[in-house]
Amino acid sequence: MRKVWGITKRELMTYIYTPMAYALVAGFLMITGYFFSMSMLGSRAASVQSMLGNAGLIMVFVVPILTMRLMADEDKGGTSEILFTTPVSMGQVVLGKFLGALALVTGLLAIMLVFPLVVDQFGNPDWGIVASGYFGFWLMMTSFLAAGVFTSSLTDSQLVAGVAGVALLLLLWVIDWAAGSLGPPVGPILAELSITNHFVDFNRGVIDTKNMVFYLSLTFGFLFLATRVLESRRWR
Amino acid sequence: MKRNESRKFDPRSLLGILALVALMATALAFLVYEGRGSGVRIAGTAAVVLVIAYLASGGLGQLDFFRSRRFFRGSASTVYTITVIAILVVINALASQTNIRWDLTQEGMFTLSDQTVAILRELEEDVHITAFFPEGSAISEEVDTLLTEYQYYSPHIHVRFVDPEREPAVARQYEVTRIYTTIVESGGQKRAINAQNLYDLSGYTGNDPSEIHFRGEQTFTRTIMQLTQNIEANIYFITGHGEADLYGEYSSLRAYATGEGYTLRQWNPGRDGDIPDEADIVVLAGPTRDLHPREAENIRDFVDRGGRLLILAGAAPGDEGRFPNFDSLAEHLGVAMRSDAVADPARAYYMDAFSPVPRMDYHPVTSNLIDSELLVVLPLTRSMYALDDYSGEYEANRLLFSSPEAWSETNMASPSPSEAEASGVLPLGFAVSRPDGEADEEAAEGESGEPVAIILGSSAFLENDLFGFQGNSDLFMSSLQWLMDRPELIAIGPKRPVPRQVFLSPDQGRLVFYGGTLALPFVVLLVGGVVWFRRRNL
Repeated sequence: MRKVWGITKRELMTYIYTPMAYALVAGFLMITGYFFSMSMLGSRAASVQSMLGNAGLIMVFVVPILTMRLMADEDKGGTSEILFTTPVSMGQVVLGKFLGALALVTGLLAIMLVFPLVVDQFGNPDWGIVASGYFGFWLMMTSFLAAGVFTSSLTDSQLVAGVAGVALLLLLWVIDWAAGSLGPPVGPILAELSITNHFVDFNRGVIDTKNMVFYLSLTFGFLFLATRVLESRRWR
Repeated sequence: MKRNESRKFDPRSLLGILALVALMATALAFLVYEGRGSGVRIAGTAAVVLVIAYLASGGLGQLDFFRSRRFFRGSASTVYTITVIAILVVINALASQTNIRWDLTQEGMFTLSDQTVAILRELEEDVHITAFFPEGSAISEEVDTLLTEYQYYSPHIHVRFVDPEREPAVARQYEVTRIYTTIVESGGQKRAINAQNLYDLSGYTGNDPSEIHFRGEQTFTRTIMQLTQNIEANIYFITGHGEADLYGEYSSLRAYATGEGYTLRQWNPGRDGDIPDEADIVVLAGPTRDLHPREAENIRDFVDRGGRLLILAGAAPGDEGRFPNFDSLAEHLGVAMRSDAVADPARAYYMDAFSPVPRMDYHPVTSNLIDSELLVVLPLTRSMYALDDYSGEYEANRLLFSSPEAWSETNMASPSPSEAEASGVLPLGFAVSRPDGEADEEAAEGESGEPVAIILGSSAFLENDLFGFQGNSDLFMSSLQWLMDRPELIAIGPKRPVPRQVFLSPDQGRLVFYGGTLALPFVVLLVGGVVWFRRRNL
């Protein structure tokens, strides 16, 4: 675990010392803040549900930029050989890097708590819905980050990793659009795979273990795939 | 030399590629045609033939790759990966079946009542709910959310949403002619629920949509209960004497009451015979001709045997003596009908004196209306009074009455009070009950023994154009509920969410906008700048 923590700390420090991370976070907060204020001024609703829904879509584009360098950078910087020969398992490397990115996104989510606090100043938000929504958003982000780690493991090009990450997350975001038209048996499967469908309950104040298991499975699945891809380099 | 040989074209490779293409075509055809059709059979047969031909030709054997160490490690890795993914799929499937939900909303908006949960947990037969709603509509979301909770408590609840514009054939199959209709089926029976059955409009003043409350749980639970427990509530509307038509001026009433779980039928005693035993309530709605003596006797016997009667009389100015059998039926219940039309200029609907807005006595039938401050308008209503010298077994309690300025008009062509006509506070409706041993105790709470009949002076207040007016439909439904006297027809209150609004002055609005859009990102950039500057100068 100490090895994982070491990698996590290194990744987090890399983010903290990189101007791009600040620019990315600032850009995200600007767009999210715009959606938040527009929703609040337009509907006068004392809630952050709309803001969280929009923020999820923005993260489809932000997360792959955050994660694209995680694995691809090791190849480009020539450090992958060192990494692969150290007494650290691939799983530990992947987990450490994932947790580093997750720590950054968790910090971002903490900053986003400003929005419900603003609502509380001028209205009476349902804090149960806020808590459930933020928890669901955090879980959704874990699966986003894992998907980003996976696409980053596929290539040594950061650009390709980023584009692939966006494509993958966007596909998971819209995959249920076709569910209604296709009908059974494919339609329900697509609806179940939708990353947004599982967030709906959270964002209206309902925590369902089924949705938690979905996000955790997705997270584990992508991290596992990333590990398999990296391990395959040893024998390919 | 060997390399060049290996690059030579081998027809068996083509066979392998064709087999692969055929397999993919089969999978695609299976998905497109949902496993049916000749396309699947043709592609499937071709794939099988090509694969066998490829294997028979020793296709696999020509590829050194398949014998390599890489192939075996890759295969092992692939099997391992597929196994893990399969386990994840199984875990998710199990999680869907055994999930636990927590409703964190302060008002418990997604928590079903104990009655609903108990009914759902005891369900033993499948209930199919097909909702015909346009995709993305607000009502669709509300119903979807509610029925998702139902499905959580019972695997027997099957829900399907159909957009009638995109799937008109399905709508025709279910004989659905109105959008926002939901069909609930179980055990070979089905009921239609309309949008108006899903909302409580009693507090709606016409301005604030938040005054409309969703009461879908009440409607769906009651319907499921009635279908699965075979609870019948048969209402027979007598016809043959010019009564209101369930498929004409009472069609809104029919749709609404059907959605509330009642079965409405029209019954012409002259054609269909005596009232059947399965009838729970018989309704006489605005007869314009008198009943035949035998028909009146049949209804009287029905009531004396424990059947329930709803009389919606309708104005009859100057018709003294034209309805002897109808009048005798009312008198059997202790109420005498006047042959008049009530004029009440002091409490009239849009200054039409012949459309009184009556006051109400507190009674189980009217209590909800009084509590909700809902009005009822009774156009063309007849007045009535309790017989002083009544010696029958029933007891009539006044429900509705006019203002003191009202009078009983016998000539609507020249409406004005005359000494020959009754005036002052005129009763416009009675609830008739059969006193019993418990009557005295119940009377103290506004109850009055076993329900027998309700007599109202107007039938026009339930016609399509007035059915939705404030408390009109509520008066009708509460009359049915009181007459049914069935505790199993449960009432689950609608969810009433606390309005959650923000109140911002223009200055505060600008503060939220600029603060949310610019201040927060600026702070983050500032911190980033400081960190970067310090790192650069290390």
